[in-house]
Amino acid sequence: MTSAELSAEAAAAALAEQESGRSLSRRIALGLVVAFVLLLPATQPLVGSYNYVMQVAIVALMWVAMSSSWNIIGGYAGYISLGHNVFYGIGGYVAGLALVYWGVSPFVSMFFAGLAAMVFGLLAGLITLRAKGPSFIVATIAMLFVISLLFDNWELVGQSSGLSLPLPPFSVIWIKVPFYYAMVVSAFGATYLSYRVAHSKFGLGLRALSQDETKAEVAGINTRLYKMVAFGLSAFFIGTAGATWGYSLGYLRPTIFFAIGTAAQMVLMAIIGGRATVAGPVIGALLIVGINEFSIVQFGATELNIVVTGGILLAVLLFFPLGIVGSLREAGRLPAFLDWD
Amino acid sequence: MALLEVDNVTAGYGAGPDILNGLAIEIEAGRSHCIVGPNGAGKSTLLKVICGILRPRSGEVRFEGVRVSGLRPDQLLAAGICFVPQEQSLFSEMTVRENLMMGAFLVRDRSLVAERMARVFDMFPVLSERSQQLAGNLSGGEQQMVVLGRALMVDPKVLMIDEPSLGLAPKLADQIFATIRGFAELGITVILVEQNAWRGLEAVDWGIVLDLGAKRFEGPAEGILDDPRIREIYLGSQLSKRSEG
Amino acid sequence: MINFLQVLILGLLLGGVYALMASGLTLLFGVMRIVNLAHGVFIIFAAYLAFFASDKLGVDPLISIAFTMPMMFFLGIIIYVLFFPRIETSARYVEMTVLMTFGIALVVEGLLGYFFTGIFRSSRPGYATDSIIIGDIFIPMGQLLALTVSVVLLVGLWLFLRYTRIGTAVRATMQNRTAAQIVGVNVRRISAISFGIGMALAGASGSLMSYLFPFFPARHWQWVALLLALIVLGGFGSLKGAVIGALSLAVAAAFVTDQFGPDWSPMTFYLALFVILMVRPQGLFGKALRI
Repeated sequence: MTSAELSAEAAAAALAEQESGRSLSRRIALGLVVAFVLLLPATQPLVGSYNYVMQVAIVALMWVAMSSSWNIIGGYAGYISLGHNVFYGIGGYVAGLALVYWGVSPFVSMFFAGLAAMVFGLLAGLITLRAKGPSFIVATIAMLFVISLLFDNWELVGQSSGLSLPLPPFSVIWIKVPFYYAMVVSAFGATYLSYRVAHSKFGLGLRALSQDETKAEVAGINTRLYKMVAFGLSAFFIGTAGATWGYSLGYLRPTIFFAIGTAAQMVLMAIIGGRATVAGPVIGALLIVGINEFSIVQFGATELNIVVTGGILLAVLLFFPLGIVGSLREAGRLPAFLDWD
Repeated sequence: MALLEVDNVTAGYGAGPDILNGLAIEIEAGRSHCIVGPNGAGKSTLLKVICGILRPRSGEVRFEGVRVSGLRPDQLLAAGICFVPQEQSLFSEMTVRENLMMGAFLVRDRSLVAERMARVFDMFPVLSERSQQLAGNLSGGEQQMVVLGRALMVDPKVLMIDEPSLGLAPKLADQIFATIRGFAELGITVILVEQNAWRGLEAVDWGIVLDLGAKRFEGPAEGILDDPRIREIYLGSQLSKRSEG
Repeated sequence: MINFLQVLILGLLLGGVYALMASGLTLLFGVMRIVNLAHGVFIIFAAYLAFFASDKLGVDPLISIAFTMPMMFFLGIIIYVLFFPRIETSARYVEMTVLMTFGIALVVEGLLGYFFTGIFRSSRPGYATDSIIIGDIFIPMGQLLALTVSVVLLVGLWLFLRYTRIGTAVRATMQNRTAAQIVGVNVRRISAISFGIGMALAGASGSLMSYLFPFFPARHWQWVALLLALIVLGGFGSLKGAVIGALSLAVAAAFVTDQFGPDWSPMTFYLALFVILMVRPQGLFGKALRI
């Protein structure tokens, strides 16, 4: 072998070792995170305001599930949906109704709730995905408002006053724990789904069509099918999260699920964390939940929270459009444990 | 001193690669030029940089000795540099007459505008007939006439036209080139970009050959096509060597 | 028959106001490809201005247009210059405008809510409860006056675009931005002015809203959804489409209200949106969208 080939080989070996080093540290870090999440409830006797911590954790996991799911259509495919919480509500109501009318626990029915949301997503996608760009965004807003209007006026679901749900059959001390683990399922599920999509041929196709739909079509990608599947997939874990959340609140009301602010939060979290990355929405969700909690503690739950949300969105759009993960990667300074792409 | 100087310009689109690489060109007043070169050579990009639509990443463009790179297109127009792009540049929902009037948008003197309009109708009688029709409804050749007529309303010092004959049947293309030669006779410094090198060079005095964002060579238009270097540039050196046997 | 006429007239009266609201929104898209999700919140902001002018200073809502329009015009220019030139070269520009205006909407909604709280507001000038009776048909005075104002402003807008130098430049920029640049239009300046005009129209709409519809900060989403639905129907960027879309959907909604009650009237707009997406995605008068 020539000296050039030898040094190239050495360089490749060094790179591989560095990569596997990164990969190992990434696995260790992720393993620690997963263990922490799974074991958190067990720290109950040690921490003071336990219920508060559990509640914040449930909320954080819920938003991780929702923003990671949204990312599949909004990030990878580049189709911004501003009505995505419609799946949140559908999931919540399906599970709630199954509980009230058939006595089925939402912990069981949540998968069917997710499925119902996904089916609705596929059907809605038939109409909304006929539009491109701004028309699509408007169509998703309309989708949200239509469903919201329907639920507001439907007697079966209690119309705008909503539906009361029976309490879960657990002792009060541990009551948050099952909800916590149900949300863990949604969060891990959504993030894993996002990861698998990103690393699949399907995900590659989505990215292609987000860059240039015509060119993707010409390259043989069935863009209509891909978009619809992405839309449907993105609905599933939002539905399961909704099912869990509704049950944890103990009542269902259209305004809880169908407020457009909820859609805004989902979008904001994915964008601030880094759209079209796997880790981005997760980081974004944790960050925004953290900021919200902080500002509630500082300022109380006033309308100023919306101002902060909007302000952060504007700041990110103007100065860090790639989001945290995206910007770090551009600068070559993304730590291994965040590099899930 | 040359009328227009492109001095070591590097430029590209968005975050993309450099299309122009240290390009240096001089345009003499009163002469008509045609810029030729293979696809991707940077011909259209060069025009866009000169007329202010695209900012150079480095280097300068000077007009009558004054630096103009970085100015807005409307400022460059006011200075006398007019650009006719490749893409459809008509106001399709305005009439022919309104389109021509838009050409004189920066001219405040009404009698001057009327004078120029008369000159345009003189040169393009067809437009006079169709003056009240919506520009979007005209045929391809007629639309190109409107675009050129509009350029004439500006009465520019430098007129840059990107692919004037694109999409036109040969006979119409002939007419367009004849018109362009007419412009040159009016004293306007013309710069053409033409994919069809033969046609383009036929209509002008001077040819400039670009490749990969830089000037390869230039000279009187007549001689360029016979120059063996041009075959190399269009076909690549291996192929042209092979064709020489 | 009489009932039919009555409903038709009520629909047209409302439709005129919707047309005014939508015209600003579609102008913004036509000139600058901006999808302004904040349009509704600015209409409501202007409604607050008019409301407090009426409440504290006794200024009639219709008169308030004389200052809400110029104030909103200048506010529009400031907002445009602050936010939009920076993102002009973004890869996905239209999408960026959506997200950006979304953020602006949230900020303004939050501030309005913080300062003015979420109480329903509505001005009550005399004409808000008067009506003209022609035969068996009654025509609410407040709405008739609102329609008159809308017509005057829309005609004014049309005349401005058709016959003034700046208006012609605006039209040119709407039709072909690059071509406008190369004939010497300062598109940056025209864009700022157009944003100002769009906001001025929102300002007038707000003055009308202050007595026509009860409002509070969070209400703007319903309005934005409605206006956007009718712009998709009419075609993004088409003023003609906005007017026709507004009138036809308002009339349709009036009939729906008559038959099914007021709760279902917004549904008309959304269903029409879905239908047009299936049949003709670019809207009635829109060109096929190039993003």
